[in-house]
Amino acid sequence: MGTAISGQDILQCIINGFCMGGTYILVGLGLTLILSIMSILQFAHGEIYMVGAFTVYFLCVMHGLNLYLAVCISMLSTAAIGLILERVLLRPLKGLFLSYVCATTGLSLILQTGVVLSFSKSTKQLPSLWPGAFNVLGTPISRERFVAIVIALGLSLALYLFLKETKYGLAMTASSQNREGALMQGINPNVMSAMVVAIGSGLAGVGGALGGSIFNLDPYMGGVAFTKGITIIVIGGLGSLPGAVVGGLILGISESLFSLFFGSQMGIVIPLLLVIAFLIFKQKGLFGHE
Amino acid sequence: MNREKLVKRLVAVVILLLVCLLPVIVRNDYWTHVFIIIAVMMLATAGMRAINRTGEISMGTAGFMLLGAYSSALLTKNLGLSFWIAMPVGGLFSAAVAAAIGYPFFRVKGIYFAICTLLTGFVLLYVAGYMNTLTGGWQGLVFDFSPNPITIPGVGKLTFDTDIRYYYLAIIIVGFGLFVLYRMEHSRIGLVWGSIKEADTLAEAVGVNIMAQKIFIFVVACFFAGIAGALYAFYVHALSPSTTPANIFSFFTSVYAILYMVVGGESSFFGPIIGTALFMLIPEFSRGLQMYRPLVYGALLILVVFFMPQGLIGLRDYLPLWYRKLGGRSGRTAPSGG
Amino acid sequence: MLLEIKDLWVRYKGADVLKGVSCGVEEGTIVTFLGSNGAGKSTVLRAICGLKAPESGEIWFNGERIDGMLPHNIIKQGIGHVLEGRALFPYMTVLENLKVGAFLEKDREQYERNLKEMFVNFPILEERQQQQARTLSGGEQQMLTIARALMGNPKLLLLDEPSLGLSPMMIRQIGKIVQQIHQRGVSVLLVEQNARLALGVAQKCFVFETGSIALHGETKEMLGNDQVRKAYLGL
Repeated sequence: MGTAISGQDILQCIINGFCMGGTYILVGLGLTLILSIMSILQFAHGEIYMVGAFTVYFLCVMHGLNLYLAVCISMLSTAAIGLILERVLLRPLKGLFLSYVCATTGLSLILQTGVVLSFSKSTKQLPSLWPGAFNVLGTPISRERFVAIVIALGLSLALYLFLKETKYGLAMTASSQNREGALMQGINPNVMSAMVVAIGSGLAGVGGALGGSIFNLDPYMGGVAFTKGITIIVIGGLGSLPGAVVGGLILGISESLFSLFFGSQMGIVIPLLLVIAFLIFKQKGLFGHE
Repeated sequence: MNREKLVKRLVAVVILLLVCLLPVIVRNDYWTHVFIIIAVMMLATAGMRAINRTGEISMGTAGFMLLGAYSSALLTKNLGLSFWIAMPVGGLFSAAVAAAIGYPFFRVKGIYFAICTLLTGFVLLYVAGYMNTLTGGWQGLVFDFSPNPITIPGVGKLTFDTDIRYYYLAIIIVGFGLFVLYRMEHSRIGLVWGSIKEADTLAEAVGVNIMAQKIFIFVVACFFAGIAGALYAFYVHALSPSTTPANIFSFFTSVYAILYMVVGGESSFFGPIIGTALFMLIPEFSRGLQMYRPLVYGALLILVVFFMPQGLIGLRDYLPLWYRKLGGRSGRTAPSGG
Repeated sequence: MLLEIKDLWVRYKGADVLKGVSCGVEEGTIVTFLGSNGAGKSTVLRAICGLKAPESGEIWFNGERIDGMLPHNIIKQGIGHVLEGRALFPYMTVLENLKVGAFLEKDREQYERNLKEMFVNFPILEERQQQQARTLSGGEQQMLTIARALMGNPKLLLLDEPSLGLSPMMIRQIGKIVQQIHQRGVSVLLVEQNARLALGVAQKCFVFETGSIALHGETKEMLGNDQVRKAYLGL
């Protein structure tokens, strides 16, 4: 084949993959929360991620706003989109599974096309979060990927604290573990749904901004993000926050390693196979409890 | 036979005639091409609907079409098998894969089954792209085989190298598949599926082996998806895996199939068929608006789910009303029990 | 009357589970619903809390009509519901479960007071407060569910089959706890299959049979009547 793979390569691969995991985590967190509280899989979640990326593109590249400020605004606007989405699309469709699938899939088509029409199909670039690379043990580690993982873990921690320490956070956790029990404590399920979709969408938006900065943007990046999201929540355990974090890191690292050894396509396929295997054999994932 | 049944039979005959004479009426190779693709999708969609009858959703339709397409094409290209063998074998290959994954997949709850099928579609796409030597990888496969001519004693040779001839081949095969699916649905088996969808604990209590039934219909549906894929392959003569909306093996096709079914009306056998025809014809009349298409489809999905959950087929519930109006005008009373 | 139910009809998938039930709970009393499995007792509780919409009939609580209201709003009126099967938050700690029970409590000090009181009344919960709810024993879980409901300072506590799956000793504990709750001024509606436990604490009793009330009256009178005791109460 080509040149032999060195230990350095592997180390760089692992660290890069670890950092890539960051963007996946942000997608997975929202997906798993929404799934555990509302029992629905939000098929347009990947498109929210994509909209987050394009919002940053719009603000930063087209209008010169500071990148980090643009990311913050993006997070707020995707959260707002999430609120609207929950109120208009998800709440009225209580119950029927096919309805959710169709409605959220329809939304994803609308968002994709909307972005294509507004921005064209061509791939775009965002400025780097932090250009350059660190030197860790002799291997270069991209700085922007490092930023991504720091932000991702930071937001994960914030979410964790919210769920553990605040009244509404505890209420959300409770709702995901026993819906009726939560109702009987006076917890309003609509408020819970609205919050969870808003939070999940906001996180996805940031994920998109980070992912868009590290890689390129294109209107169809949502589908890939969604698939990755599903992968990590299945591996990590549905409904589990630490599961999503660990799952994201595992996915990032394993994709990286598989790509290194078997080529980039296998890097994509093997996780999918892992998901199917997990769904069948170890539905609880690593940390899940449903 | 009462009036209503008579009308229904008449409508069926008219439609059948139209379908048979379509290429003659519309003497246009391009349109014939469109009709063939529509027929292919009708079969695949009908299969997916059959799975839906048991309450499950398959989001991997495109993947199973891919299986049938590639396997039949490769059998002909590499082993020289005749189309008439390769096509059914392609369908069987797809069915075999379905059988293999059916048991583990159905062990999981509805949405997770949907995810599994969705991912399977992706995996199959990537596998096709990865296996360069066998499938031609991401560049795809090109082969120049048409279905082998059949010799009918006394009549002569039938070749299938023109679009029109392929059209008739397609509608016969698709028609056969639809017929089988229709008969299955309207037999005892179909009732069992309905019972699984509506009240599965009850069904189990009366001795229905839910798993076996679901696997069975999954296998049958994937068989027909494979056949549809094979039909496509031998028509288009070129296959390639791709994730863009234009490619028939992409995830979009699986989603569109669901769209056709929901908008057409999932409660009726003919709903998805009408949905498929309608949606695949729309693009033909709206060439200029091509870029808006997914947006319109998406909006339609949402609107239908909200306002017309029974789909277009629900409109026929209004037929007795219109009929009664007509009957009233000519002084006759409506048939009782209508 | 704190809680009043008028001519309640409830249907599940075509079958009438409650047929014109009328009953009530006076403020400051303990009332029990008795009857065998499937007689409809739990269904009344679910209807009260809005978990099951009735076909017809009225439910009044504290002067307000509550049938048709959303469950979380009904709870806000001052009702606590200890669900059948406990419905704990299994992967949350004992303390967290209690915190969620106090969700509607706006006053921080009141919350602290309630918590202290719960720990005094249920010392085992204080001991296990950092443990996940699912690791508790059956009896401890039952106590947690009751404590959780009490954290919301309800005027009326609905208890659905608290004795299920518990040892005789635990069942006696539950009886004591119900009386303590009553002493605090909380009205109790106790649904039970265990007639001995129920009649040991309740002042009034309604006996359910296939969706209707077969018999009702003061506990003392019911126990005093040999026929009633044997036929309906199995005692």
